[in-house]
Amino acid sequence: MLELDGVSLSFGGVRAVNNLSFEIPDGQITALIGPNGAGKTSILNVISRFYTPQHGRVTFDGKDLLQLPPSEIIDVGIARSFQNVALFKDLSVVDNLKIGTDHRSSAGLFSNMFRLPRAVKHERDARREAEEVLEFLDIEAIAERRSGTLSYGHQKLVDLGRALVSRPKLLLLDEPAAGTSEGLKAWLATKIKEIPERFGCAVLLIDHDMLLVLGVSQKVVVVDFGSKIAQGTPDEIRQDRRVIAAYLGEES
Amino acid sequence: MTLFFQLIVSGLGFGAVYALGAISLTVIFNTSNVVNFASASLSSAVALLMWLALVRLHLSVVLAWLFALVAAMVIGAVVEAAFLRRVERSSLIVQIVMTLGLLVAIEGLDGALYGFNPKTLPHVIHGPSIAIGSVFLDRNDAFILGLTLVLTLVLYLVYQRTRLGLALRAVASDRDVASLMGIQTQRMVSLSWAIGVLLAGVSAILIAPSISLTPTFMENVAVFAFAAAVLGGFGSLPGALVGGLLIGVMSNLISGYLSNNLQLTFVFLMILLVLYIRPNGLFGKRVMSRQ
Amino acid sequence: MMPNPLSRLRKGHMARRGGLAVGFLAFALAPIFVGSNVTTMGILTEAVIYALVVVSLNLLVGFAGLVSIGQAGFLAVGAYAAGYSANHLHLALPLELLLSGILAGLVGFILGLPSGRLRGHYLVIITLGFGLAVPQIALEATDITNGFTGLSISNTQFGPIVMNSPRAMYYFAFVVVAISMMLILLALASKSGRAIMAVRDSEAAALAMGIPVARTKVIVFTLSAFFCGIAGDLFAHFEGLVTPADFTLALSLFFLAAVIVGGLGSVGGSIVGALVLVYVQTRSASVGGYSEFIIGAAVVVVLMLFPEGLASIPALLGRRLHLTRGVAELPGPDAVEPGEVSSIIAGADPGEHQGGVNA
Repeated sequence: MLELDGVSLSFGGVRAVNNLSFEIPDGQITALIGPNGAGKTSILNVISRFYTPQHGRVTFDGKDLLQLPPSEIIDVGIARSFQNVALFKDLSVVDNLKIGTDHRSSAGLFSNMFRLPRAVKHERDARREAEEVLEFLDIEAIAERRSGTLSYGHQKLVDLGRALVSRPKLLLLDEPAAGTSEGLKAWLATKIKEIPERFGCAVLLIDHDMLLVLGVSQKVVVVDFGSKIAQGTPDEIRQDRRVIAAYLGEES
Repeated sequence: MTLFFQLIVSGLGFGAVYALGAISLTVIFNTSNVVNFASASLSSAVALLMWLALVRLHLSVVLAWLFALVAAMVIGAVVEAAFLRRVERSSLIVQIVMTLGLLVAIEGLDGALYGFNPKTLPHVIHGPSIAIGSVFLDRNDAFILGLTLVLTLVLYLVYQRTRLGLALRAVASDRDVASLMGIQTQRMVSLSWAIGVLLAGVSAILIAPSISLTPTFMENVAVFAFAAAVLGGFGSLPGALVGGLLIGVMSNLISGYLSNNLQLTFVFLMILLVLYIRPNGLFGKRVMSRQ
Repeated sequence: MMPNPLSRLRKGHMARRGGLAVGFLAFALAPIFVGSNVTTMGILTEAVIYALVVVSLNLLVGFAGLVSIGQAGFLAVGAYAAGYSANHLHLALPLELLLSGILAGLVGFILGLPSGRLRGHYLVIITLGFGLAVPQIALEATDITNGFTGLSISNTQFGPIVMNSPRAMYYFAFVVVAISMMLILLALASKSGRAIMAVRDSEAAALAMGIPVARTKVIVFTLSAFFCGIAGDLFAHFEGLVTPADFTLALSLFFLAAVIVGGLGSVGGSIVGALVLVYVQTRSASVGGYSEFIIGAAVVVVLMLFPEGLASIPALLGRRLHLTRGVAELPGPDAVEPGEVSSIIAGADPGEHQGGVNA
């Protein structure tokens, strides 16, 4: 469904992404892995349209994403989480989640101000859908808390929930478990595994935690220095010498 | 055509004052990343202290200047240490509102201490205007212009040629890195506030004789100084100088040909237009941001 | 059936609604306690009008994170529009109010256009220039504004009702302000309000959630100016005379101070802030001319106590008096014992890969 074709991105002479091509299949969890600074988040930011690549094409269901502004990416069905959680910190958890549903409402300022029927209906739907996701992530208890006051682990969950509640066709997760406790990491892994079936979407998971990635994904793309160095099933990746070399070379 | 050139020349005095104000804003902004919206009240306070020294305490001109300039630097350093440092790590809104709160508080304090009745400061230089061909340059304006150019040059040389200037520039480009290099960044920020208020204070003392001296008299001047800094791209000293002179000349042309009341309106429309077309100012560098 | 934990947490909303109802009643009944004292009635009317201005400014500063110091300019547009329509167009009062709001909103729209692309301080400079330019334009555009002398409005009339007593004037202002505040609160508690606050908190996340950041900022500017214009209309009827000297930078800064003292992002706080500052202003004589200093110092003190921004003196007092609930730490997934965890990552051999690959 999502296809990157020969994408290159540089920042003033520094190549962040180099002639990268890969495809994300429908209804599966695809993982994008690589050492720190390999360009993973840059790739995600290209798909989100925060960065415009100098070369290459990005298509989603045959649609050219590079023609769209960042604020319309969610409308084609791509939602994302952020590596360093970018919550709306002074809003409650449930309001953060409601924002995930807001792009679907056609109610404008006037309708909202005068509570016209479509605004009322959207508020009701938004609340219900937010509650469903809160329940899925087991965070109903913090629904009314100001999200900026939450623990980091909770914030990561809200960030994930906000993307999930938008009912995307493709969910982009940027290190959803980074910086959280081992217990939460494991719990998150089960939840992420459930996502494709329960929410009917594909997932692109970025992480450098091999354990998490290989455990939940069906397809793995390995990048280093902005280039793809391997691609395959988790089992194939586990055997790949270049992957092991890249990781050991980078991190030892 | 003579009128046109005359308007240009007689706009230079005010232009130089706006330039000094813009340079003051730039010096402070570069190290502390704060746009000093309290500038108008701080510079008014310095001019009022000058009035206190000269008119009330009957100090000699030299002593009065010395007193005012030292007071300006102390005020700058104290304002930074006591108030701005407290919100150093706060959001932009909080920093902006802090300087606005100081603006109101200091003007209010001066109002309570000196009253709002206009006071007069004498011109620094007296004498007949200087003839340049068919146009005339007011002697006091010439002095203001000359002093501004000298001050800008000195400041520029300090920034470019001395160790202190290097330290100030290092803090301006990246505070954390500067700190790692062993530069006492906090002291540099204090110093830049001291220099900034000094320059703004000088501009207020120079312009006060031409307009009435009150606790709020610099507000309108400050707007032109902000406009000049915006034109100059908020960061470069030469940009601020050119921006100030440009605004001075332009507003004088507007008041000469259109209306005295609409100077500010046209300058406002101009900066609105400039910022709409170039969000980083006329001479500003494009900053590439990575999210 | 299990009790829904969400219903328990809706109590906060109930408390807020209760506060609103109490405030509404207090303002509605105030004239009864004030009696027929003309001065006090006038101060109260001014406070009600200013409360709407402060709330409209809080939309920009507190809810959208856009600092404006030109709010008196929008007030002026509304006031002159009122004066002009009352003298020349003879519109019915509701239409006149709407027109004043729309005109001010239009000006706000134009002023807000660059706001999507500008860094914060540039916006402050633009609003500063705007606020100072409006009275100058008013001085020049004598055909509409009557220049220095000002525009006078003889009487305020709605159908057969002529509002010729201070009390009638108060209730007129009160009703208009109450309706405006209601609309603002409804907008804030909807998709529109969430979008505004989302842009304030994280532009990147707002974009990713489909919120057009630049357009949202322009909308807030328009909305803020619209309600400020309505307040300007009330101001014109209340004062009876509109002159360029009414709309100073000091007034704009006064509104900003009320926003800060009442709390960024709090409608109720802004109302309190407006009351406090009108009070301090009217007490100017008894504080020896220090009222302006007190107002400025209050802002500085609030920011020094709460450098993180979103708190206020009323909130602090509330906390001292235990009026606001303490936020208890709730158990969350961090505390959840990983049950069926190991089976998830069954495919991977933890020992082998964790050590080598993810050191």
